[in-house]
Amino acid sequence: MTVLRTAEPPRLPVRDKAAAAARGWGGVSPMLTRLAAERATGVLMRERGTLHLADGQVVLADSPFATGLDALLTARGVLSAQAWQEALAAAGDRHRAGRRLVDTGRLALGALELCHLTALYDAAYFALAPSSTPGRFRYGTAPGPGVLTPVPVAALERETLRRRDLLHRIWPSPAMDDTPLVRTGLPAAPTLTHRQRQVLAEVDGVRTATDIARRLGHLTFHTLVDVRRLAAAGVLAPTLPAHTEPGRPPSPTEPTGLPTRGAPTGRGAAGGTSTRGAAGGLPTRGEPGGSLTRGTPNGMPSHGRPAAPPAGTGPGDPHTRPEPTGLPVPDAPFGVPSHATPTVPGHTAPFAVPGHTAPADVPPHGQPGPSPHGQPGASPHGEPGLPPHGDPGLPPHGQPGLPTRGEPPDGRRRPPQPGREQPFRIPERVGAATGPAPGHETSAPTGEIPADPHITLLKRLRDALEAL
Amino acid sequence: MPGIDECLLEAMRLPGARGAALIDWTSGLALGTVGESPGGDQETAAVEAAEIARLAAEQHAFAPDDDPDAGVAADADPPVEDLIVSNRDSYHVLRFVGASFDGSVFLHLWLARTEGNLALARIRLGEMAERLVLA
Repeated sequence: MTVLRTAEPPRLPVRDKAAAAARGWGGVSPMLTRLAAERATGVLMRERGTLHLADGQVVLADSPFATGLDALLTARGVLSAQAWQEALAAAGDRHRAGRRLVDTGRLALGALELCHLTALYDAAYFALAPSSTPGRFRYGTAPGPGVLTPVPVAALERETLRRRDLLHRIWPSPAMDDTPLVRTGLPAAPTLTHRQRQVLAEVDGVRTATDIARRLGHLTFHTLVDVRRLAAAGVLAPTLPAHTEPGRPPSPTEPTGLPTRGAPTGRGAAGGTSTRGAAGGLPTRGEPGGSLTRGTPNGMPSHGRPAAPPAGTGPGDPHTRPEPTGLPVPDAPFGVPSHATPTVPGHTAPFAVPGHTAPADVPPHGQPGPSPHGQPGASPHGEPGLPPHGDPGLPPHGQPGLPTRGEPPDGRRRPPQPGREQPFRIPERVGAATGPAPGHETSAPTGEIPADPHITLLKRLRDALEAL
Repeated sequence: MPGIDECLLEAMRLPGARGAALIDWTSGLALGTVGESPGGDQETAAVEAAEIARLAAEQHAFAPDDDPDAGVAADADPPVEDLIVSNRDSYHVLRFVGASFDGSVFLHLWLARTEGNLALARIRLGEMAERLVLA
């Protein structure tokens, strides 16, 4: 018998996180990593901010989203804005302006270093945020003497990753990071901290977290922490774009749903639990945020999937296409079976999908299946039937399908299965199991061949997910 | 007028000092470290110390609300002065630094219990925290 074997598809390029961890940073910006390695001096411009490097170390960071050193120094009245401007004009750059203020006794060195470092990490957090455009680097000259504590790139990247994680654990939606904020109208929980109350007092439906941070003289990242805790507590919400889906514009209703499960305090430990609970409720507000998908893998499928079947119900082939494109990575494995089952039985045959249910179903059925049924199914088939079986992707699902048909009595979970499986599997599986079925020659090839790319795609996807 | 490093080195001169760090308790970032770190890893120690500092600084039982009349002055004084954790062989003294800037910052001093003088450390650390940010 001739067995067609398709070569294992190449793995999708995935960043090697293990190696990255061993290296000490997670490859936030490969370019920055390279620049650090060559001890470059100059300015790295990224989408959300710039980093100034000297000898491969970061000496200064700027971001339109972060609270700058000047705002930090002047907002609390420790230093007047005028004094800062004068020093800046006299000294030329921020490093020297700071030094000058320290030398003239206007500012404590500790305070300057403290503000410089915290402002640097604050701006770097935004500058190193995932960007949609490549960064540019302009080689330059070193800023000269008087540079305040430079920060190694590795430390900066590690800290940035840690901060992302920290925010994500508090409230897994970045929707509030750069949109204007609104109160949800709920009475504020009595356990808000002093800083949280300060932040809340500044919320007016127009200001973003960055604006609020500047006004208060707080670091933006710290404000984001407060904002996300307030969101977890159900007190704050991002303003929604006006054109949200018709079903869910009423912003007040969403927040009201949230606080019930958000921990009232919204602090770290509680935040951990609350976020998970909230994930279920999130999707409603996830749409406007968009980026939420990443945060709520379990919430999304229910959303993404229902949309798919209607699109693909008609013809068989189109259905295979929406699949890959609609696969927002994480939910595919879970989403597919759930939506596939209820769909029209009629279109299941061409769908042949099998592949998809397979990943989920294989383990349980796999054991009983292979031995008794592998042969009978294979021999009668001949060429048309076999290739798919030989294919790495298929055997698992091929077998699992068989036992369900052939030996209903043996398995304890049979009863539920028939109901579930009939819609898809009967057409081609019956052919496979009983061999002589006349219809199978036509149905199997047409059904399975189109399924092939489908399965390889899913396999690649699975590999990619595993590698993550 | 000491910088961060001078301040930490000065803390290390206290009897029994094993390690000292300046840590931001909102983010858990260590702005400076000197000497050993409890647990062996600087970053982990900083994050853990930040967590306990944050709890103390945010709980109303420990950090009562400043009265509104006090204004900026109250803002500059951290609601919690210090936090002391003692265990079988060491003391940890966490001293909050005045909040005149976005100050969620504290000094963390780790003392060997046998040689350390808790009262002295507490007083000195308070002075250092003050000098660090006041011109």
